[in-house]
Amino acid sequence: MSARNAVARLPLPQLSPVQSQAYALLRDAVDASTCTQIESAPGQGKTTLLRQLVRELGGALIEARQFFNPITPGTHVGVETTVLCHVEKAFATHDLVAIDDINTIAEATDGGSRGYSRYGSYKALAQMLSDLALAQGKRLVVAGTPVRDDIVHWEFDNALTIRIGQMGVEDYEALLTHELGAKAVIGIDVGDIFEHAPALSVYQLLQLARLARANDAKTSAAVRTILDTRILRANTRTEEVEDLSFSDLKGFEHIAEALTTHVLNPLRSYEKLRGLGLRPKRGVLLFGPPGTGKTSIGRALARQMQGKFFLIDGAFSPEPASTFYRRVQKVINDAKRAAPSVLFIDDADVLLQSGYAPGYGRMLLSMLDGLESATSGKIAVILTAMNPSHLPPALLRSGRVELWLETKAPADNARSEIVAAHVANLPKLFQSYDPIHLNSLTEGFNAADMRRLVADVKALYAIDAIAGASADNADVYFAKAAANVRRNKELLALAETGRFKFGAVEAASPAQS
Amino acid sequence: MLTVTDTARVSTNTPALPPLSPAQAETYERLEEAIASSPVVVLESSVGFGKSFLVQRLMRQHKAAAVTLVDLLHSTANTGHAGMEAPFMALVETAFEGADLVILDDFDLVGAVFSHPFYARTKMVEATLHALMQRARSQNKCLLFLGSDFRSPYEPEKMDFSFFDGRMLDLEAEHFTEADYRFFLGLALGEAAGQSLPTKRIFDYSPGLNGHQLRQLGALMKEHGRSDEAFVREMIDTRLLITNANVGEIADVKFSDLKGFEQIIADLTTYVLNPLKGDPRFDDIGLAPKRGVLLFGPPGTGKTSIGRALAHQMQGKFFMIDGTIPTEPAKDFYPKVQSVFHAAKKAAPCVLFIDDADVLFQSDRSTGLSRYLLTMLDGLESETSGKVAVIMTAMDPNHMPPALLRSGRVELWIETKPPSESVRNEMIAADVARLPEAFRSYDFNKIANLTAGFNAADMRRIVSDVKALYARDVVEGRKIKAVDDYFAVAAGEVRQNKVLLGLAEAGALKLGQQPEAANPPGAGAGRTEKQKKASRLRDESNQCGGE
Repeated sequence: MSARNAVARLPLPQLSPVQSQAYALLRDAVDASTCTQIESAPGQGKTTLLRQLVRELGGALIEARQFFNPITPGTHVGVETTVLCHVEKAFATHDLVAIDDINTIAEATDGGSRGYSRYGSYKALAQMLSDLALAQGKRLVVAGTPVRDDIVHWEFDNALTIRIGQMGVEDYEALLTHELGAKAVIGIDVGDIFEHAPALSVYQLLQLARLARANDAKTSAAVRTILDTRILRANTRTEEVEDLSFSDLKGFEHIAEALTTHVLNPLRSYEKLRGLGLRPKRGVLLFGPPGTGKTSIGRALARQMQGKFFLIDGAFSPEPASTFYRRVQKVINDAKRAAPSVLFIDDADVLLQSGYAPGYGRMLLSMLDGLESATSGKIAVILTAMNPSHLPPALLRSGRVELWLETKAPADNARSEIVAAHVANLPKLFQSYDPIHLNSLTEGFNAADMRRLVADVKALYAIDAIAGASADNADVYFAKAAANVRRNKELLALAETGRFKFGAVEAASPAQS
Repeated sequence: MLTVTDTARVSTNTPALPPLSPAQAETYERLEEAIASSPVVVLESSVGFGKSFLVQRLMRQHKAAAVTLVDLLHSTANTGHAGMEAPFMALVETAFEGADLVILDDFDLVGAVFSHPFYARTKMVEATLHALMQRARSQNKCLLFLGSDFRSPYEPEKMDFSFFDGRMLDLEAEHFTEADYRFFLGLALGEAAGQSLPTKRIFDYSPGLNGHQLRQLGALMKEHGRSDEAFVREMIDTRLLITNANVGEIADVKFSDLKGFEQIIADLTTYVLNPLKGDPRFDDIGLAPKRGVLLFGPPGTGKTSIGRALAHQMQGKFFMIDGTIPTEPAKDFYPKVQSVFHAAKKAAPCVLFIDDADVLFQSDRSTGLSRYLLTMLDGLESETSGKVAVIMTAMDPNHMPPALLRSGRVELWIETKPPSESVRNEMIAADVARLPEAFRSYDFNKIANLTAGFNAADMRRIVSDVKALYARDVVEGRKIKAVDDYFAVAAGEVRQNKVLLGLAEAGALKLGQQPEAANPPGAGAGRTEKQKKASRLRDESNQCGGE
C-alpha cells in the first residue's frame, strides 16, 4: 500500500486553534526551507499536522509502522537503512516526504543501550536525508517528541523548527465541541476545566469528552470529577492515605490558613478570580520537630487534592540510581501534566542530605525555578523537614522556598483538644478522664505523642478487658500510657545523640509504670 | 466507538460466563467505559485479581482479539530476525483486521524483554506501540494492555507503560473488600454457606488475600468441613501466606519457654500481638499495633529468642530481615528488602522482624534503608504498612540512625537484660538434663566466681563444652575426670573467651601477651557478634536459645 493511499483514506480531524497556528507556520517553513521539523509533546497533534500537510501538498508520509517493513520483505536490515530506503523510494514519486516519530529511530539506534550493532548511526541518517532532499530539490519534514531521557538528539541541524504551543482555552473549547457537539458543551464552563487542568493532551481531552458523555456529566463540577478521578492520575494511592481533613487537625489553624491562602486557592479555579494572575507559592517548607504533624498535613492535602497530589518519599528506593531518577522524573512529569498540582516531598531533609542522591537537589532547584516551563510554575512544591539546616544550602540560598511554615508541639489546650478529638467516637469509658491532670501528664508532648498516647490507652484497656478486669475510668490508662510515651521519648533522646548507656534510664517496663 | 455485541444474541450453547466478584465487576465496568473512550487503555492489577476473567468477558462482549504471549513467541520463532518488534507488530495488525478491540494480556512481561538494556533495540518497541496506537485512534479501535503490579517498586524491570503517559487511560483494578471474600468463599462452599461465614473476621484478619488464595481457602474449608474462625486463621497462617522466614528452620521456641521474659511478653502482647489479632470486641475502639518496636539489650539477653518465639506463634504472618540479606550490591539489596515489605503488606496485619538492626544500619548503605523505614513506619501512605508491626533488635541503640529515632517512629522500647542467676539456671535446665547422669546434679554455685555476669548463652556454652571434653576423654579412652574438673575447665575457657572478646572489641588485644589459657582448644574463640549475625534466627542447630 503506498503512503499516499494510506493517507487519503484517513478522516481529517478539525484543527484546534493552536494547531492551526502551528500549521500556518509549518506551511511557511516548508516554502522556505528544505528541511523542517515539528517538535511537540506527545498528543499535541503533530501527526494531525503532518497528515494535513501531505494531503494538501501531495506528499508522502512515512509513519512508525513502516520503520519495520523492509523494502525487500524478509531481509534483515538496520532500522536506519529501512528508513533511508523508504525515503529514497518516496522521493522518486513525491516532492515532499514527511517522517513522523523520527525520535524513535534516534532512540533505537543511539539511545537505550549501546548494544545496538550500529550504535550512533542516526547522525549519519539525518545527514543523508537532508543531503538527499537538497540534492534533489525536494522538501523533507520530520516530527518528533522531546526525548525523555535527554541523552539522544533527533533534531536536524539545518532545519527550521516549528513547535506546537500549549493548548489554550479555545483549543479545549474546540476539541470538546467537536467531540460532544455544541449543545452538550453549553452547561460546561470550559474556562473552568482549562484552569483546573491546563496541560491536557489532545488524547486526554477526547477521553474526557467521551467519559463525560458515558457518565452523562453535563456540569463543570461533574466533568472535573471525571478529570480528577479518571484522567489525572496521582502517584498516591488514596486508600493508603489516612482519611484526614484540615478540620481534624487541631492546633494547625495557622498552617491550614496559610496553605489555603497561598497554595490551595491559587491552585483552584475561581470564576471571580480569573484574570488576577493568582499563582501558588512554588516552594513551601513545612518544618518542625518530629511528630508535630507535617505528614498529617500532607495526608489532609492528599485527600483534598486527589488526582493533583504527587508524592515523593522514602518509598523510592535509592538503588539502582537509574531507576531512582527515572521514577522521580516520572513523578515530576506527571505533576506537570496534572498542573496546577501539589508535589509533596516528605522528609526532604533526610532525602536531600549531602552525599545522597546529589542530582536530585539540582532537579528540584530547576523545578522550583520555573524557568523551564510555564507549567512547573503551577506546581506547588511542599517540602517537609525536621531540620531545615540539613536542606541543601543552594536550595535555601536561591530563595525559592517562598513560604516557611513551622509546626510546633501543641499548647496545653490544644493537647486536650487532640485527645478529645481522638476519643470522640470511642465508648464512654475513654471519655472519662481528668483533662487537667492529663495536661500535666503530657507536658511537652507533640501531636504524634498524643496520638500514641491514645493508641496505648486502647491497647491497655483491651488487655484488661480480655482479662475481664477493665478499670471504670480511663485515668489509670492515661497515666500508664503517658508514662510509657515519656519513657520512650527519654530513651530515644539519649540514643539519638549516642549517649545511651544500659541502666542509665530506669528501664521500668512500659506496662508496669 | 466499539461495537458491543448484544448479549442476548450470543448463541445459547455458549457456556455461561463465570460470575465476577464485586471488585472484578466494578473494574470491568470501568474498563468498558475506558475502552469506549480511549485508543489505549492500560489496566494494572495485582497478582490473583482475576484479570483473565475480565478478558474472557470482554472477548464475549466485543469484537475483540487477544494476542497472547504464546502467539508472540510463535510469531518470533520463524522470522529469522533478531528483532521482535516486526513480528509483534504484524501480529497485532492482523488481530486488528477483524476486531475493534485488541487485548494484550501480560504485556508487562513482554515489554520487559523489549525495554531491557540488553535488548539490542531497547527503544524500538516504542515506535511499534506508537504505530499501533495511531492505528487504533484513527480507526476508533482500542488497544488494551493488562499486566500485574508493573508499577510496583518491587518490579523495576517490568515495563510500566509510561510511554503512553498523557495518551492512555490508566486504570488500577479495585481492591478486594469483604464482599469479594464472601463471593469467593461462597463460590467454593455454596452461596448460602457463604452468607453465614465470618467473612468480616476473615477479611480483618488478612485483608490482602488474592483470588487464588480465597479459592484455595474455600476449597480447604470444604475439604475439612470447617468454617470456624480458628480453622480459617490456621489455614491462612500455615497454608496461604508465604513468608520469607522458613518457620521450620527456626528453633522451636515458645513464649512459655522463655524464662524471665514475662514482662517483655506482656508488653509485646499488649501493644503488638493482641492488637494484631483483630478481636471483634475491640472493633469500636480501632485497636492498632505499634508500628515500630525496638528490642534492645546486651548480646545474649534473649532478643533473637523472642524473635524465634514470635515466628512460631505468628507463622505465616512473621517476616524477617536479617544478615542473610547481603547489603551489597545495593541494587540487589533494596529490591530484596522491598519485596519483604511488599509480602508483609499483603499479609498484614503481621510482624516484620529486623534482627540486629543496629548492625544493619551501620553499613554504608543504610541511609536509604533508614529513610525507607521512616516512610514504611509512618509515611503518608501507610494505611496498610501501618498494620505491619516492625520489631527491630539492637545491641546498642546508639547505633540506630538518628533520623529514624528522632522521628519518634520507634514507638515502643523494650530492654532485654541479663537474667538473674536463678532464671539463668532455669533456662539451661533442658541442656543440663542431657548431660551424662553423673553431671546432672552439678551444683553451679561451685563455679559462681567464674560465671558472674554470664548470660544464658554463656552458660549453655559451658554445658556444651563439658559434653565435648567428656566425650573426647571417652573416645580416646582417657581416664574420666571428676565432674567438678570438667565444669571448672569449661567455665574457665568460656570466661577466657569473654575476656579476649572484650579486649578485641575494645581494640586492645595484643598477640602473644595473653596468658596460656587464652588459647583454649574450643572452636568458639574470637567469634564476634558480627560474625555470628548471619541468620542466627534460622540457626536450628545452634542450641544457644538464649542468644
